[in-house]
Amino acid sequence: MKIGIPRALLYYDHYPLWSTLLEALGHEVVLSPPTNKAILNRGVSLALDEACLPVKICYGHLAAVEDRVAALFLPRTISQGPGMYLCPKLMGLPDMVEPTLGAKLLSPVVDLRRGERQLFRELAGVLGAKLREVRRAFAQAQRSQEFFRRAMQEQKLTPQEALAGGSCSFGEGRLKIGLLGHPYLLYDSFLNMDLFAFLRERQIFPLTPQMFSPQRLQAALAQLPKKLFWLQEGEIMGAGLVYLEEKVDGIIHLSSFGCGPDAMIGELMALRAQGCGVPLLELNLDEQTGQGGIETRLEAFLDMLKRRCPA
Amino acid sequence: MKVTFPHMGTIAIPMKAFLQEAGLEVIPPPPTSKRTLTLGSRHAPEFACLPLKINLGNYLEALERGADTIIMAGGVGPCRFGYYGEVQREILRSLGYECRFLIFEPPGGDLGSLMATCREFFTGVTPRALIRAGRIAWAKFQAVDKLWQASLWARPREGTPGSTTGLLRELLAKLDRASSIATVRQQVQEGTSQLRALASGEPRLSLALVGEIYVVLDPFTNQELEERLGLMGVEVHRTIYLSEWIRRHLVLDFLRIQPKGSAPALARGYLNHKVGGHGLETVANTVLAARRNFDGVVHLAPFTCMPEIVAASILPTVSSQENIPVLTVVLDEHTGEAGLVTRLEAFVDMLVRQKRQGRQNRGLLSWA
Repeated sequence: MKIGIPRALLYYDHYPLWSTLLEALGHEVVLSPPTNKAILNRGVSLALDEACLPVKICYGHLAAVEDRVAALFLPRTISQGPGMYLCPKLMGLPDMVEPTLGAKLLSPVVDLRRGERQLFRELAGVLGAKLREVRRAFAQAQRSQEFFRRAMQEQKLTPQEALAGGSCSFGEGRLKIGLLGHPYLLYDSFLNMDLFAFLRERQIFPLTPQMFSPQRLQAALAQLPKKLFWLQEGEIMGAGLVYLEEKVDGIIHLSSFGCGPDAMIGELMALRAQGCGVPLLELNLDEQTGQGGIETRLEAFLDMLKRRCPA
Repeated sequence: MKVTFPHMGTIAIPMKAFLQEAGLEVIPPPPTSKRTLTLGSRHAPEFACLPLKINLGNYLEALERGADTIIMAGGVGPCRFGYYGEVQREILRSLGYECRFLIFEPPGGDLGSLMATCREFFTGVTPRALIRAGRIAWAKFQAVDKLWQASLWARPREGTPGSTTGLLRELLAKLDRASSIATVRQQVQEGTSQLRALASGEPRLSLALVGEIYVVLDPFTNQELEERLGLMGVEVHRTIYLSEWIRRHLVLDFLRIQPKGSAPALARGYLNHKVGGHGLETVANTVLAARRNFDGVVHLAPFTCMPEIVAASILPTVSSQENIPVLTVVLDEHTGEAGLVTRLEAFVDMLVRQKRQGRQNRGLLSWA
């Protein structure tokens, strides 16, 4: 069966896992094209006005790929462990998008609080496969996911570079800058106006949350008086605290209009950065964001950082 | 120690009773006003949801009046409410306030932390005083809700416009002063019959009010929506009451008891998983309203509320399949009175016309 995966939201986190799993079970995976203006416009017209930009984009990606496939794969990702949720919108996403789609939607519930066995049973049910096959395919999928994660961490790659098996374009730069934000903003070069290219042209090789081990991020997060109950925002907040430990020159936080969890950790992060005297630029992206505005703000921020550390 | 807490509808009445009965000094924040909202919005993150901003305004105004200890509830996610206290505490600290900020985690969450916070907060309070305080507070929680419910029944039927609101205000003020459970009970009985006695006509419509708990319960935040609808002759059935919420989520959840007629069953097919906050309840209650033949549903949500965005994305489907009109109203610090009134009037007019012509072709109405 041809199964479509949207190049949106958790694609940047879990693509190797799900694509390997589906392929190992004998399906063909079709990925939606990289985000473009048409996908954005389609998503904006399909989704609720107040939905955040990444969710709107996801509607657009699903619509862009649905005609070419027999089914769409959009897991309902609830939790990756005890007390660790994803954003409520991701939990409800399959139900939100379903009325707008023509193709069949495959949405296994991924809730690791209930254990791996339950997950295998769920996947077997949704994908119409035998439990034994799912278990074997999942083990293979986990290996490729771990390989992907390690490539990002150890070779300091972006997800796209890691997926392409690409070589490292990371180097020693003039300024040490930490990037914060959800992977679907940091690595979608259409949404962020190709932030990486912009920085690398200026000999800046930004750090990303994916360049640190989960253990390191968790250790940094333990500084907070109360544990964060969102997994992804925990990664962002943890990375922010690591950047402060690593004494970066500046932090750029990409967030999207109307992002709920980001509003909370963005504030905590800004207060902490202020306390450490580290400049933090918050760039808020929405469907109206223009390239000129973003670049002007980035340039001003970089100029300011260069003046602060004249070395 | 001078204790304060954030407002949410009429929560101040039972909270004050509880704290005073336990022998603590209480400084409730002044009633939520435009100033509260302005203060809160100024210092809160832009995309934080409205309740966080209003809470913050409440704290700032209570601190101005001399409060030095703030108590707040926690949570286990995924709704942002569970992290409100942490963010609010940091904001107050960054503004230079040296107050104590105690966060009570729900018993189903971090029980150790809850016990530690209780021990810190209630030092010197005897268990007996605590039980007495709990009992009177619970009586008042229920009393407020009963009076409120009676007022929602009476208002669309009242002979003299505005008489219900006036009487309710008096009754709540009296309830606030009541010092024994017996008095509270008597007041509820008398109060509800007084409210019922105001009725003389029949309501034009009956609407169900669904949505996020804070904006549903707090008349300042929802621009007195229940009262406005009542004055238009609409009987409003609120789907959330605080005493019911406490019973269900704090007591029954802790004891792991699932009440009957649960939300997941009603929402199935539309929303198949919990999404935190009241998202699932919103969808379930809309389905229920359709099956119980309500004339329509008003859905309230704070701007950027994640669970309600999920619900609002799904309500159009519920509306067309269950054949029930839904008006979604999103509230934030910029919500204007005239805009809201116009929308409510248009919605009510449309439903009245439909009702007269017999129900056909009803659908979603939303300018959210």
